[in-house]
Amino acid sequence: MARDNQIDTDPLIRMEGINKRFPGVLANDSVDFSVQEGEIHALVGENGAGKTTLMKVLYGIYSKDEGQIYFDDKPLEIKDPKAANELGIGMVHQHFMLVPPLSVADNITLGREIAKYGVLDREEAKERILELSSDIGFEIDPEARVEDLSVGVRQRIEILKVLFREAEVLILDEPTAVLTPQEVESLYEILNNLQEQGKTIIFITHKLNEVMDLADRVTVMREGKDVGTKEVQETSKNELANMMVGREVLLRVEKEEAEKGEELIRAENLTLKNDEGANIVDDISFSIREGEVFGIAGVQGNGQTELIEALTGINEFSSGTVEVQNSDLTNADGQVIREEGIGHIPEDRLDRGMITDFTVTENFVLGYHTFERYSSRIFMKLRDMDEHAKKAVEEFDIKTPSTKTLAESLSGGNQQKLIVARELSQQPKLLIAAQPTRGIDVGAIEFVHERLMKERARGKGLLLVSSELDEIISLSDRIAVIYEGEFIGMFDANETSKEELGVYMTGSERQDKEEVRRKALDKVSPRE
Amino acid sequence: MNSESRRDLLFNVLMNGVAPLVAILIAFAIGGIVITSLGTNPFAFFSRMLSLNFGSMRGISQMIYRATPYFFTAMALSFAFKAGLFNIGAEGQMFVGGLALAWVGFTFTWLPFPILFILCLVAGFLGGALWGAIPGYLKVKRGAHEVITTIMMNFIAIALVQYIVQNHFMNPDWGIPHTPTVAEGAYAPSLGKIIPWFPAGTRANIMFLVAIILAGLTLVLLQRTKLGYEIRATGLNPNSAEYAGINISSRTVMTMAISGGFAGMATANFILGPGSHYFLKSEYGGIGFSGIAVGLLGRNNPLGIILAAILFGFLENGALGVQLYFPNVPRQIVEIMQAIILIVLVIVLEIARKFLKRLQKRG
Amino acid sequence: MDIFTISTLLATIRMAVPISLAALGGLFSESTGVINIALEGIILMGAFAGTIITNATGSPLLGILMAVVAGIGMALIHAIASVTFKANHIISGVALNLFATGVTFFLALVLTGGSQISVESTLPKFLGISPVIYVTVAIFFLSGFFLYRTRLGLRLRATGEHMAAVDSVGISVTKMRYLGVLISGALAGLGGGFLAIEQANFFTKGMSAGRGYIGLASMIFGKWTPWGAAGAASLFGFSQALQFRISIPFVPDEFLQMLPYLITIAVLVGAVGRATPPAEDGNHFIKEG
Repeated sequence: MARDNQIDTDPLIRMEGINKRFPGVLANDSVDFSVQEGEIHALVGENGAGKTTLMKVLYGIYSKDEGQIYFDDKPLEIKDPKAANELGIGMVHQHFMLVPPLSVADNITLGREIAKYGVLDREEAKERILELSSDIGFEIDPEARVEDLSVGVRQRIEILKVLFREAEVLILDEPTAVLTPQEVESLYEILNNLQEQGKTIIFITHKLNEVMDLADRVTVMREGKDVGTKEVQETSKNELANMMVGREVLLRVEKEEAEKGEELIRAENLTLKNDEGANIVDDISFSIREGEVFGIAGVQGNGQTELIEALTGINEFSSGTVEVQNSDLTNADGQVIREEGIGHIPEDRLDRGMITDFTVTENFVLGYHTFERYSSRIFMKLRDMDEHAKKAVEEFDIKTPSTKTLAESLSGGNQQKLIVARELSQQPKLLIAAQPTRGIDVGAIEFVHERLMKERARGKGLLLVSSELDEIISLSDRIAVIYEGEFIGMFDANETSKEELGVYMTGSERQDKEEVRRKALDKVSPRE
Repeated sequence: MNSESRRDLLFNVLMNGVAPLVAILIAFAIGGIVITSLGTNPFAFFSRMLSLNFGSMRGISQMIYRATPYFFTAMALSFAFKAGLFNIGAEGQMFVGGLALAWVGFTFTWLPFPILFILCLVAGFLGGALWGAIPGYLKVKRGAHEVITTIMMNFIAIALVQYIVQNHFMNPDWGIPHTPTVAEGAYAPSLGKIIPWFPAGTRANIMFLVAIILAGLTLVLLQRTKLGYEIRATGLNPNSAEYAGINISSRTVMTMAISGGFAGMATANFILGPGSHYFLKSEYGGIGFSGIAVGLLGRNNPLGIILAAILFGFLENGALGVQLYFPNVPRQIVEIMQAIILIVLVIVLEIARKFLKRLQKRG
Repeated sequence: MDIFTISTLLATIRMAVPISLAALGGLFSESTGVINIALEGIILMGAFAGTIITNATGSPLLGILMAVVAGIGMALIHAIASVTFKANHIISGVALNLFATGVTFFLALVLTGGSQISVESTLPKFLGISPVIYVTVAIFFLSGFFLYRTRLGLRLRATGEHMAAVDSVGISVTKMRYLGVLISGALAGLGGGFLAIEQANFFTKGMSAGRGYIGLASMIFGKWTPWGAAGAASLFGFSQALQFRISIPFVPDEFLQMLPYLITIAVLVGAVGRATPPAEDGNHFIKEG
């Protein structure tokens, strides 16, 4: 393996002082980044740290505002992906750039078709692809239509597409985000094969395990800046995690001992099937009491979104029951659920939680616009709406020129505060909060955390879904780990650790099903 | 003034003021060039048009008479737009509504004014609403895109209306197929009868006032009612509307129905207003499609649409009158200009949008 | 009553030519994701330009060529508005249709003083059939080959399905879209030229009479494939041929007129098999960064 003796050589690619601005954001802030020939280089950082932006600059998709890129020590401009391809740089995007109705071969060759007088030579293309795929150790049917293939296979097609263009440098953007554990295993194999063939690989990730397993070196980004490059052998997950978040990871929110009261919600045997009949939410039961925070930890896409959206009336369960203080709210209408005192901070701020072309006031009543205090049978009570909104803007310290400003001109943190303000202003008994601090700045995070804990202290219940383990552990009382739609472990927040939850989140361990159910329903012993 | 509200102001001025004006100016410039090439002085031509329209109360009334139907078909487009829907079917909705309102007018002949008049309008609204609701329903239930279905519904309406008129209402002695005439109780009073400074007997009629009232009501509906809030939410972001517990399907169908209803009343100006008092299909062709131009030129705002409709009325009425003075310039020159306004407008709007975006990026 | 006669067949073919060319034009445009409802206006322009040039030069061949050029010209405006300036495809199409209606009527009056212009075709007929019909058949064969077997065809189709993917491999989405739209203009223009010069032997205002939209309907009913479109256009051509030849008891002409549109809606709601339009239909390509 070429790991040990390459650090002192000149880097193959060097990016210096890269700046990239988007409206309102400095996505890359004088970033330096370099890659050695033949290495596997991980680029890590939280969501929004600027990793993808940097790579899109390198690949010519974005034009940089300032900075210089050197390839083989020669300064050059990469003005579009074509130019990057000519340098031997290829990119596997997070959202695949494949044309679903076309065949595998057509997709791989697109833009570099094998043709005679403009007429496609599909036989030749097929042979070349079979050859290429066997080189790196997998089989593929060049004639299959991409839309019929699994995500894992599509990713391989993307890799083949890059190799077909004779790329020597492969950039992979969060390649494992969409893969099953088995598929991740075979991706590792492919990448190792590629390294042995002398290819250089840059992969973007926020999973530190992958960095440790796969990479030679790692560069960490935070808030648009690069905060350092390390040899993987000389660093640890803890060090990298600290570099990523820029503060002690064990930031714990002050949390008083909860005064647990009456049971607020009892959900039993919730199951939700998708169109294909697979269980997206699989036999989930839990209960939450007053003054209690019930956390759900899990990797994105394990059924959390569907669970919450069905609890709040956006979606429907296929079976199971939801009772809120003895009234049956199974698959109830969203309006009814709100009237029963259940608030919902959705995970997708912009595409669920608010309407960016609405004013602050209009957003402040979204979902509650039918409530008596905001509307009569026909008309909206515009003045009352505005008064309530103004009060909330003040109380929650939302930075906005006025309540008539369109929500789109607020910063992400203030948009999130607006949503939190809306939901908390209705005095819900139970608040369902999904990723309440995603993509907002540290100050806003602390504010949101404080407000949530205040609600807990007032005896409100909270169902918290987050992929940030720190957040889950520091805010929750009890924690369920969700994996493939199922609760597979129940933990007391005081007695667990990120490491333990992490193991469960990947599905590598699970507790006894009955035991989990019993704990989730908060039954002290089976006989109770 | 802070930077955000300054940006909002700039946005409004550019998109709602400058862009439509530039489009209109370019259309007049091109029209002028064409007129010059026919050996006519364009300034003489357009100033004659101006005096024909604005030189007398009679001219103004004629212009209003021509403008009125455009308001309704334009509102059909724009109202649907508010809910994120693209209703290209005003033409068909107009025909179905028109036949419905004529039918009520010549069937319930014993009813007095204004009862019959109002019933006719309701029938027109309902006819158009039905024709608009169908594509809405097909979109909600079967995912059929409303652009294509409304286009197809236009042609179905044209054939259907022709069939009904020809086979059920037509008297073979009439020569051209039209319906029987509506009863007097359905007549829309001439503006001359209501407003003193309009000439007596002008064809401009109360439908213009109905249009203004509807523009106001629409603003109230959209900005001040619960239904309007939900319609706008659905149009701006269906996912967030769904989160807010809004029934998107019902709002979609309802919006398409209201939208179609507007178009359904477009021909009331001709059928109920002073004139022939019957439904004559061939007289109305194209008003639905031109409404698209009027709606966009009015920037989908009811008040803007009144202005845009008046501009179209100005062009059309002017073209009819100006022929006497400049017989070598066919009046179809204004159709060309109307089309140019529309195509230039969409281009100018995009340029303005790009300019604003660059401005935003910089500051 | 015998409706399946040779003369009905010939009439069907004649009716089907402009429709099928419009349908194929729509297909080329939509294969790159640009919706082209300007087909109606393009046919009208083609018909007008073809008539004028045939009469001016005495050569129907030049007339037909001019019809194609006029179609390309209209399509170019559509491409500039909807591809370069990212105008809504439908609005641009509506504008062009209004424009064509106005401008052809206007010019007809200016040039001849009337709204109807007769034109004589002196093109030799083979087996009693206009050569344009043979050309149309050849165009369908060529199009099938072009779209599915050539490099450019592959790129066109890929553009209509996933613009970002096409862009990411260094193909210009804009160029592909222009190409698709311009081909569509050429085809619909040819259809218009045939309509006036070969079929009607006159130009008259508004003579496209919905053929562009029926073409669009054929394209949808034919599920966005050349042969499907040809089949659907033939069916609709047949129903048009019937309207002009005979009256069928209990089936009013108006219902035959409605047929293409009713079938299209049935297809769209999935009652007659599902049809999926290209994924990028009506979208704009907005380059990142």
